[in-house]
Amino acid sequence: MIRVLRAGLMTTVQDLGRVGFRRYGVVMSGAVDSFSSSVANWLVGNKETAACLEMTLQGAILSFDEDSIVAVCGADTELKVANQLVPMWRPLYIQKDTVLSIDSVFNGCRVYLAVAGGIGTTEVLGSRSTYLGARFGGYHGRALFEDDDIPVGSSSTPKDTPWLHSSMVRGTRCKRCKWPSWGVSKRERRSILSGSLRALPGEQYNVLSEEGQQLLWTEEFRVSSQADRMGIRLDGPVISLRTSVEMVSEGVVPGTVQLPPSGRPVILLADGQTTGGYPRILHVASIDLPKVGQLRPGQPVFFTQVELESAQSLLRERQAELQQLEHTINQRRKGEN
Amino acid sequence: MSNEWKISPLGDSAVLISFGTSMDRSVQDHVQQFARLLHQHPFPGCIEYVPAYNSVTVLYDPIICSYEHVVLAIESIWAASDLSSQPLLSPMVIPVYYGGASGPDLKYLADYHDLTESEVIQLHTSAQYVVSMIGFTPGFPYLTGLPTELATPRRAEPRTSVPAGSVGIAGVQTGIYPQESPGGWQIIGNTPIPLFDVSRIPPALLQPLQPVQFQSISYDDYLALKEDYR
Repeated sequence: MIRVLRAGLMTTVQDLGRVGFRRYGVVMSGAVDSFSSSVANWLVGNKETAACLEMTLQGAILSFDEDSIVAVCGADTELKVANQLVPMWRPLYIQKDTVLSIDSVFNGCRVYLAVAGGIGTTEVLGSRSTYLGARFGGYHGRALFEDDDIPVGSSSTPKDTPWLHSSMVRGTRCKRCKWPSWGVSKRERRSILSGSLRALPGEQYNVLSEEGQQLLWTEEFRVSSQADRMGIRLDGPVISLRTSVEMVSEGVVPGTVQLPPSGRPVILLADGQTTGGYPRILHVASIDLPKVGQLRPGQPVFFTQVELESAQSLLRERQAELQQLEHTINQRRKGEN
Repeated sequence: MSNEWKISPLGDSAVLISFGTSMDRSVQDHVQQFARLLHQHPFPGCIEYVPAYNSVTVLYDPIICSYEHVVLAIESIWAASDLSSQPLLSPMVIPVYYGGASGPDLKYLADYHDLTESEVIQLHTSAQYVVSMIGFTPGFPYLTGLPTELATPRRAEPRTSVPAGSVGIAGVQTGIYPQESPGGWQIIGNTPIPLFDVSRIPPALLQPLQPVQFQSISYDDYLALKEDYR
């Protein structure tokens, strides 16, 4: 069990999302920065599909009732055990009854805590992700509160973890927390912290005024305070249409950029609606969706045009890189490196 | 590519199959046929599909197949299909208690169209509807087929809370709120049947493109059914 001593601003159980029920109005949900959640899972020996805790802007304070292996990945934050800083982007061995505190998040929006065995809440419609709008999935369909007890799936005993027995292992003075000498590189970590988003023109891109099209690719937008797991409203230049357009509702997906009557674009995220009647002016390339999950209010955003073929081949290259990263992490964990 | 539909990318992980701009019966039939074909013959990399009024969105994994592969796969599924042998989805009859506290806008709607409340109920229950799309909230069906005599604009002020099971009208659409939520539709009745249940597969009572009819029931029958589904 993980006991919640402080929940943080918005902490929910998420895995890689709920798939197969979109035509019934069930949104995908899932970790909005799936890169960080996947790496955190790999570091503790889970598959990337295991459920973890997604924390937003302010992290949680947790205690573990058993010896545990955890990892925290995402934007920057301070992790502490017994008032001592412990590293992100590495597996951490935590002794039972130890308190781990995760502070404010900066340089981005979210961090992910994975635990060996995965978060063990009940699956709903094939996933442990929390669908906040419909109040199901994850931990009773809601964000975590103080005094919640979060179940953890079983895994092999932490003491059997090979890297723990290496002579190079480091730890806090009190010995309640230990970690290996290796971790995920800064270059990898920084890949999700950028407001430059590659995007393809959307179905109604050609209904935009010429000026509107120009503005989209050249001007800086800013994440407004209206930003959550459903969507991010952008402040900045107002984008206008050439002519008004009568739209019948059609499908939208995470990454779709809609243009409501206000002229201020909205980027849809994992909890965004399944269909919509607003013009779709852009679609953020899937490779950059984890970056969208790290956009915080006030952050600048730029769109860069990319072709469909390019977006897909970039995604395949990225997938190969990630498979390599997972392989390397697994080898390190097993002490094979 | 066929005369009846065209395909275009919706970002790098989905495609949009459009069946024209009208919302008439033949368009709906095409949407239904297409969705059924895809359901029976998913191509490798196909993740899921979402029917709407005159389109179907298909989500796929671009690691497994490129956009070009998806276009080819869909064209060949359509070409190889035998449409005549497709069984139709059986119609769902939705029992509704109309008016009273369950239908706070029934009187307004009747007055708006110069009809009696009975005439409104008669018209609403005599029509054959089709689920064009499910969205807004899980299981919320958008139904086409509303008699034009009942087409009514949305409420000027949406309600902050519409009870679960509320049957409503907005413009030329009719629909049912599966969960309590804010809502701006004109509420004329309530159904005791649950429209969405996460412990069921599929979790929604209604399928996209399913035929639907409404049936007027008494308050006693409404209470009895509600008890059955508790």
